[in-house]
Amino acid sequence: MKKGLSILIVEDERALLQVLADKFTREGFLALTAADGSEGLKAALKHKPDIIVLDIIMPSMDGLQMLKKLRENKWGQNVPVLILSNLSDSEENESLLATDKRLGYLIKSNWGLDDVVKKVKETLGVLF
Amino acid sequence: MTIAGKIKILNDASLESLNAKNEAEIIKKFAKAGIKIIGAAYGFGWYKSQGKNDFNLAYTSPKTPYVPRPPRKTGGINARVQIKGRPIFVMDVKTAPYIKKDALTNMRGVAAVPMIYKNRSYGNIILCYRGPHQFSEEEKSLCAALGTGAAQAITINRLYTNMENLVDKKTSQLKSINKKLKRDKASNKAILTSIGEGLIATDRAGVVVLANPAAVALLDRDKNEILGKSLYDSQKLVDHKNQPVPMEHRPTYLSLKGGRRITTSAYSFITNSRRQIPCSITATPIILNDRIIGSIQVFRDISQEREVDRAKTELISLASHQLRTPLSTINWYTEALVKEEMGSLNRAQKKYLHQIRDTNRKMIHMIYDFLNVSRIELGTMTIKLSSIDAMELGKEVVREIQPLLREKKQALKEAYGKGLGCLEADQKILRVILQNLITNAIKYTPPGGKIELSMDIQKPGLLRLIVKDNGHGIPKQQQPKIFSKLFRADNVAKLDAGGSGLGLYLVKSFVDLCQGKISFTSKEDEGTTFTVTLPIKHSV
Repeated sequence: MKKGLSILIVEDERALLQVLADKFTREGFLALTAADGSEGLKAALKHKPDIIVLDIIMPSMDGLQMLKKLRENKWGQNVPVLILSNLSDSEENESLLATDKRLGYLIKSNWGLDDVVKKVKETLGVLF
Repeated sequence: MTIAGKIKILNDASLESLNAKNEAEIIKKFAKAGIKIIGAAYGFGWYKSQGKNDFNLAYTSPKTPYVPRPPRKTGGINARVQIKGRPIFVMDVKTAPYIKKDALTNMRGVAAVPMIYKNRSYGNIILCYRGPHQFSEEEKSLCAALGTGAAQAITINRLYTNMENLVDKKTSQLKSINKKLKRDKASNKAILTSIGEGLIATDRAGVVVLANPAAVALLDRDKNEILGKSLYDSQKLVDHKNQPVPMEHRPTYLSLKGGRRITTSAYSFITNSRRQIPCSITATPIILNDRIIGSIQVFRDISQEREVDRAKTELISLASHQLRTPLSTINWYTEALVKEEMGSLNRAQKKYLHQIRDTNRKMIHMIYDFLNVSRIELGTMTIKLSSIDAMELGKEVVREIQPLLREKKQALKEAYGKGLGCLEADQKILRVILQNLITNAIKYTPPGGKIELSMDIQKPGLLRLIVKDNGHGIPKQQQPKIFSKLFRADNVAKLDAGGSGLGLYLVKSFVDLCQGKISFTSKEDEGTTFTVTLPIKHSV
């Protein structure tokens, strides 16, 4: 794997954030973390990660607002974003998915950690 | 006296008897008539009271020289006359062997006349001469007519008295029934007025014959707009899609047609002011002598219950949503540990962690069941068609369930028909149906059992899924209940504590939502086969 691929994980649930960050670190990523949308937006624009994993329901600025702001940015409009979703919420995001070609989603509760990593790698086109 | 005069005396006695106060008076009249028509010196009447064989003295003519002694029960002339059923004429008692001689100083010729009519005897009339008497044929005939006439008169009197008594008795019975009816009516009225439920009685055609104040108030109409009108007009019912309920689905109609009680909470009624009120309706046929003569409908506003129910479902939905993130967190941490990404584990540690992971996954499934149930109940579940490959979906579900099969050493045979490749269907719903039916088959089949999944296009536009097992089966008496919420069959409840009791309820709800059909055949200890058919579109 190419060295130095970076991932930004935006998730307000500390425990979930931790386990994802640890996993991606073990997978050789440079894992950046943020606990809400505004923090996430700042970190994204500053570090310009290769991919962003984004939770939707968060305090201060939620995932959808952050995504909107991100897409307004010249760099941000092309960065791949995977929404951390619960299966039932995916319906609401479907219209977004249809219009935003750089958007995917991960289902928290019935995906394993390895499935998440697989999806991220697929999105980045990283092959082994 | 001419014979005609004598017959007239007898007729007069009969006529006068109609006004007699009692039977003794009738005997008196005939005894007197008898003395007159045969020219006897004196006479008396023995009256046999009803149902007894004793004789009582009913009358003694004034010229009777002694008080007649009560007749003997057997052997005497009175008993003989009764047995014979015809008068006995004695010319001279001194020569008659069966009369006690000592009693007869003033009696020589005797006519003993029984009062018998239609085999009923009322006693005897005794007519006496002081000297011996040779009875002429005319006298004998007159005596026979006297006995019969007296008996007829008594019979008529008795019938008349009985009839009067009967009329009196019936009248007093009717009076007390009437009183009871009035009392019942008053208490029924009080009940009907005080109950909160609307109550409407209709005739066979559904025309309202009675509506209590609550019914009038609930329908928000004038009483005159309800009474005498068809219930189907005054009580507008709509279903959950706001469509008018057709006549042949209306509870009252069904109860009148089918002769059984119908209960439903599926409909709302529309008030006069166009308010829509969800209601519970019970319609009961009124059956008289095996014929349905009308129906009673009791209905109740259940909007409050609905709201409470909705709040409860929303709470479950909210709680389930909130629980997903922590459960996912546990899932991911456990996964990292199980895969020894955080360092190697010994066998016992691994075994324990597997338990944690499996239990956690069960919880996640339950949460999904809860969420799906709350979606069904809140009506937020919608069908989303997408292009799917049903065979791929089937294989995927089977792959996911493989660990359960391995655990129970069961074999699952898959069979896929042609044309499953490109269908338009709701993937999520199809997945839930397959998952639940297969998981149930695994759970309720003993280790080593066989499970079969087959999928095909039954006919264009209809997808068929069959899940068959050779497991415990569903007890016959519980089969009607298997699709109800939280149902667990008795014979397997002990085997598995992990189920939510929502699986088949969800499957049925989803199948209904898609306007599909589900059926099953099951025999205890032989197995169960579920068949689901779902309408689908074929994508090109």
